[in-house]
Amino acid sequence: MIEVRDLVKHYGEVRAVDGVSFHCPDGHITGLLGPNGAGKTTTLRMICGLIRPMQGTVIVDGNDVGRNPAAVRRALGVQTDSSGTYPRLTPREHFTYFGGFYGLSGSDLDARVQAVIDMLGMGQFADRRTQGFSRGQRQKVILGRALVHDPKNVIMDEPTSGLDVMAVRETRDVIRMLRDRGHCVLFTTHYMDEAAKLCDRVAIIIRGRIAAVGSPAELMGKTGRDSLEDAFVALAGGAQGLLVSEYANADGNAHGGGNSGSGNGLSSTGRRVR
Amino acid sequence: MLRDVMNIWRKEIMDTVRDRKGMTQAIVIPLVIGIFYASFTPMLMKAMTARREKPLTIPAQGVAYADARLLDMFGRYGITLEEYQGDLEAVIQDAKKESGLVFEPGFTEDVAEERPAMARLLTNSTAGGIFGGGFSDTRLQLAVGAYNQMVVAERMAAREVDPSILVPVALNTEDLATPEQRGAFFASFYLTILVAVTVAQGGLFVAIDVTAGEKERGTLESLLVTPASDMAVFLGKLGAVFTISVIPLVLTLTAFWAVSNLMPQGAAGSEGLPGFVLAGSLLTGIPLALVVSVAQMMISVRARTFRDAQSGATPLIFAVMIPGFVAAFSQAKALWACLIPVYGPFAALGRMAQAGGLQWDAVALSAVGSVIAAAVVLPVAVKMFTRETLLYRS
Repeated sequence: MIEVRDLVKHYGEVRAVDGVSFHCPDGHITGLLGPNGAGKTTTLRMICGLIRPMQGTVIVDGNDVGRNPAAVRRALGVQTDSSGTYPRLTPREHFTYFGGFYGLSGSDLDARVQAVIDMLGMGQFADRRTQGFSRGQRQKVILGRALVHDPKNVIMDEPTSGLDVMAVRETRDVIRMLRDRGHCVLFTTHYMDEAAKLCDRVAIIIRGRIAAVGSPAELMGKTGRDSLEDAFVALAGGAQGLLVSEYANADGNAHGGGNSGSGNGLSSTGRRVR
Repeated sequence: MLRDVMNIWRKEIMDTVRDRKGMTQAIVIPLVIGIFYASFTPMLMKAMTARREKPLTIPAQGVAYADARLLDMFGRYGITLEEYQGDLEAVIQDAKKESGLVFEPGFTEDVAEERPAMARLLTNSTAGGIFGGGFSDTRLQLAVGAYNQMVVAERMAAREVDPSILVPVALNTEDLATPEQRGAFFASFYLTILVAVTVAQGGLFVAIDVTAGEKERGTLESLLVTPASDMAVFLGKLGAVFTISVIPLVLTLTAFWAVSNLMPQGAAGSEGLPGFVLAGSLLTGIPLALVVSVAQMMISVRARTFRDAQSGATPLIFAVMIPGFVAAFSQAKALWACLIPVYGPFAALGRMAQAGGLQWDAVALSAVGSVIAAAVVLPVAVKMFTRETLLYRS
């Protein structure tokens, strides 16, 4: 389980993340939704311990990322938004390399690597160097190296971005399978229909703040809209709200979120510290 | 942590070995440079000898005026004069001929009557390549010098004067250098440059690839979300850079040593290159490679792209090569100078060349200097190598 409590990260005057709180239970798929620059990736990076928050904490399976980042990273499998692979290594070598960081070795590691290759249907290209792989194949490599140690908690940053229809379906099937096996899955996406289909819970982040948290049905009910996309736009303050300048006045904003996803209402309109 | 370090080291080595471009830059190029340096001198000597012994035909005007014994002396030096019809000065100036001789009327009579006999040697030092005009000129002057000595000896004998009065000081030069000293001395200049070039270039490509290259490929973040500590990631990558730096150093110096001993008149002279020079070069060069590897990592970590890192690393190449050149050209190399980071290994190499043997004190001091420098720079480099710095501050 991942618990995010009141995370804050500013870059100079820019409030990239400004008091974000939500939680992701085991056996659930939690979607972190937001427009570009909303703070999704920064939030994920703080959860992984890549960025130190200025305030707030992240607890993963009882471990505080600030106090015990290595334990948190051991409990996480992270598919980053970078689609890079080592072009001179095969997928099998990628998985063996990354599995080595989680205490796996010898036949245990080989077995886990093979299990991931089978799970992701990579048998035909598992021993080819990744140079020249398609986007979908590369995405499988990235996903596989996040899953090689069978992490209890899986974080995916836009896992279906840029993939073709078949690859998107396969990725979604993997996400569902992880959920069905009791894993905690947190992922970000731009695609509202994808979030509606996959997510048990959704946290909407707008300009560094949680605007709302709940199931897709709850959010649609709360806003009176019949699609998650419309609900998202409404929660963001309308289409104009999504386009509003980051220099806009922050007066009168509401602090979304709160512990355990009790988020509410509309988001702030400003990101600048004054 | 050691396990993570080894995991990263293994992967980086495998990745690098599979990279043809990187391996060419890291290993093949320094190896070729080593062999080239070792074989360049003998090739040059061979070409010079061949040119010196090759029959030389010189265009000349007024050959009929020349003393027959001078022509005979030219013949002994492999020089044949060939009467030239036309503008000799113009063809030499146009570099169509390398050199020419012009004898004035009355040349033979002047010699016979002990007056200065006049001849003009026309030459164009740019004609015929590096073994062209200059070489012809030298051979002609040698022949004329020998003729002059012969004539002077005859004139003094006619006056019953001992020709030795023209030589007030008979200087007999005796080279007391041992064969080891001579071999090491000839080679030390080349070796200093080889060590500098190999160490500066050897691991650079790898240092950039494992830091800025990872950023550019988009693989760095995946590595940084693993439980491996910053220190483990840094040391694993540094280990790979250091390993790849040392491999070309060993290969290059060994190739240089082998070629120097296989080819007569090699870079180490006719004596060949003593084994202690190879051992000393490695013992001083390997700790130097460690310091340079850390510095290469520091520079590469700050770069966003491969190209940025290459630009940033250029001053570092000079920072290694300039002390190498200074050491190669300077005479005095005090023992304490071996402690100076970067300069010390080259100073130690120079001391060994002068002493004609392995100088353990110089080797030890240069190694200590390098290790201290690495120990000072390493914490700074590790501090720079934090997750947040790597991802967001470059």
